[in-house]
Amino acid sequence: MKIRITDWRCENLRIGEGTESFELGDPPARWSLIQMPNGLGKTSTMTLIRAVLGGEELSTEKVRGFRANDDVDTGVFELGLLIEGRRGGSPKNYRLTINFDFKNGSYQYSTLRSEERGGGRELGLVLPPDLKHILKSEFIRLFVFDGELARDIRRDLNKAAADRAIRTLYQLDDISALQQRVSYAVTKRQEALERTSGKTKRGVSRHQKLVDGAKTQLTKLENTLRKKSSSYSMLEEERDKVGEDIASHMARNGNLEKRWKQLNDEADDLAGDIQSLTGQAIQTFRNPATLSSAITARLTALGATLTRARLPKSVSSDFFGEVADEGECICGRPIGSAERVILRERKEQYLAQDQISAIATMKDRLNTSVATETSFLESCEILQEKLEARQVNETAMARLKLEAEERGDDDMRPLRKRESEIKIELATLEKEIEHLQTADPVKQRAHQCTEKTNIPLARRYHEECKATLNEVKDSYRLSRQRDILLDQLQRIEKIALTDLREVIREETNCRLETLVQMEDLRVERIDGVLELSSNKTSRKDDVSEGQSLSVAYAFLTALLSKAPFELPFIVDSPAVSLDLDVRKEVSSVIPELFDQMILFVISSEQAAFAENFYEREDTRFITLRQTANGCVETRYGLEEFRRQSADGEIT
Amino acid sequence: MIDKAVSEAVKAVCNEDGMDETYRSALEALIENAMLDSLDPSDIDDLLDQITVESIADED
Amino acid sequence: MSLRLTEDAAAFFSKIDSHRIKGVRFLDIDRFYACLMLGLRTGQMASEPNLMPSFLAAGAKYPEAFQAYDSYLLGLLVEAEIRRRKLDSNDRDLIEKETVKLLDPHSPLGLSEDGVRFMNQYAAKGFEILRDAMASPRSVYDFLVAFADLWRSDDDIVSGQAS
Repeated sequence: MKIRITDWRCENLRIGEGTESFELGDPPARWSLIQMPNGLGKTSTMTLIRAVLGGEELSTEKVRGFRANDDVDTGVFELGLLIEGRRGGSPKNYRLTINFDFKNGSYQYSTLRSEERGGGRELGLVLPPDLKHILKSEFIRLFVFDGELARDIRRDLNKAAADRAIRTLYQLDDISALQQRVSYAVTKRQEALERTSGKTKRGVSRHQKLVDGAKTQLTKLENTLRKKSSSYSMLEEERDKVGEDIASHMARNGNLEKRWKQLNDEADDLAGDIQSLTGQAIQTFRNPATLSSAITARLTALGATLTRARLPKSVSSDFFGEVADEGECICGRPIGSAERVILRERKEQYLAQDQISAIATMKDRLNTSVATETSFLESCEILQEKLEARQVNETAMARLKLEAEERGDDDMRPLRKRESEIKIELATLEKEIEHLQTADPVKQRAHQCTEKTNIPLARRYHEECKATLNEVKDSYRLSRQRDILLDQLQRIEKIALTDLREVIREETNCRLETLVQMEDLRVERIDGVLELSSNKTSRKDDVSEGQSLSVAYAFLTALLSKAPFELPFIVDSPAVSLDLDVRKEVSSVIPELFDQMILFVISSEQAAFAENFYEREDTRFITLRQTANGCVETRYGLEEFRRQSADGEIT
Repeated sequence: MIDKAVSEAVKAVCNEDGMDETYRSALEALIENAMLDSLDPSDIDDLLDQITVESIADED
Repeated sequence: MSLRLTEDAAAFFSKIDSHRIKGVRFLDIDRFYACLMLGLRTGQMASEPNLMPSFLAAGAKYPEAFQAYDSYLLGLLVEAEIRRRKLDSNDRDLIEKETVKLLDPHSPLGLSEDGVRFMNQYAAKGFEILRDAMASPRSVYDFLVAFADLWRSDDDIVSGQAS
């Protein structure tokens, strides 16, 4: 990807006359030298180029600082770019614009793209996505290079700027960002697992213990149930045997046996009656109309109310909707838009057809709800009679047993005693078994069952523990996978950075060899900062300004030449602080370092620097000069450029 | 797109950790997509699932 | 949301040993219905009952035993609401509006969300009346006989009016 600056222009800004335009050629010249005396807006231009490339935020104060004069309320800065895509193809023009509103100190970025035919301006900066990474203000400062900062260059690079530059250019920052995304993704997945109390190894073994405990408890309860059930069957057998013994004892007495059989038959009949009457009672209970005549009365009354109110209304909202959709009314009149509006309004006041049907069904059922069948109360009356009869029967049987005992059958007493004992034991066992095995939540609640006492609850708890354990295992596995990946990414980032530092260091030293010939000044290592060495001292911290600048240029060009993007290099007053002999060397090397260079120079930089470009083809010279009457003129061409320098600066 | 230095670093780390070729190329793709801003969260999940960790004994 | 018993009501009925009655099952909805009928009869509801999870599955219709009576239940709810809110039963639009508020032809029980919530609140109130009138039943037939007693006085009044 290749990025070139084609031009920029400004309206009502503190640059030149206020409204200026700088054309670098189509395609832009490789070298553009812009001679601009101090005070004509060099710094503003650099600042604006940086701002518009990075979409920087600007303070109100800064915005107002660009204002040409108090007569203007708005201003514009527009930068033209020519961008060649990664895959070649014809380059595309981009125009990045900042519109200023000086009154309220606001601004607005917008973009105009050549391929967007008729699309007009798009709000914000719309650049190829690959560029997004490079166009961060920190990095922009490296190629829209502030000459005023030249003196501070080494100090600037000391602040880990070298590393930052490498990281930005090679997108190592994205590997850091990726680590955060990995952590986030894992957290999200663990959250989705709901129960993530233990993401650690300890958590896993704790949950394993819970599963084991739950399993043990379940087995224990199941064993208890087996024992109790077998006791229950044995007791039932014993009860039957005791019952038979009692019967046979009674059989020895003919009269008793006859009465006993009679009562037994009666008991059987009663049990059957109670069963069927209960069934009948439930049937009549479930029908509100037979449950109570009071309810029947209410149902009938409501039916009557609905009938009286002529509810449901026979016209549905669907009807009005249909009429409105038709071209004419059912009476044959045409329906215009006014009628249609009224019909649609009216429609809202009526029910939908299905609502009407529901009410109609209800009304029909209410109006036919007269109870013709046996009522609930009648069923219950008979049921109650039978229940009372059973009470009488049970009393009679008890009396008969007592009578048999009194007749001297000694064996009967222990049998009777055992019979009642068994009855109690069975009832107790039955209750215990129910507590153990009921799956009915209502009963579980009532018996205060827990996973310690009830098998279905214990089973469920065991399943839950197992599920949790699996989730915890998953969660723990994820945590460890995350840790491994994060560790790898960190190492990759570190190795890549170390590697790139070395590549850039070698490249920088290569350049330094040609730049600083008189002294063997080299970058010893890059470790966040540039550490220098020379043949004079092993650690060279007190290098001259010229040397410092040379190191900076060497580093920058090395860095930028390795970039996947070819960037323009824009610099303000590159030679102003250099000795004449250094200038000469620098100016013979620097031009070859970049594919596009835009150099802001002042007249004093002509000597030994700018003059080295006079013979170069593909160079554009632009001169801004202030006339005697205070106007600013922009002139293109070498002649004007040279004359300006000969005249010296007019300030 | 991805710089040689990064690609080499991925290779070095994968070699050291004994990761296979499938994983290496997946990891490189993940980094590349992160740099191109074309990452889906599921990419991360897929890569994580490729990392084998010794499982805790399954006793039931 | 579907039909739900209060926690107290669930506990109250839990002693009923339903497996002893063969051929007839006394269902959860029977318990709910018993309470509901008493609540609708008084025309009062409990405002914030503590409800158990529904005994009907989500989206379930009335159990078969009650399907024939769904219109009655809706009607009784409408009727109770008319009484509770003292609506003029001669106001055609008002009655229609009230009915429409409580029904939803497309829902499983034919009731709107409001309708279902009201049913639960009426049943909760009905249970308070039931608990006041009888001990926790131990068998279905005991319950039915005791429940019948609760309606006898009403019936006497109605038949008295009729005669």
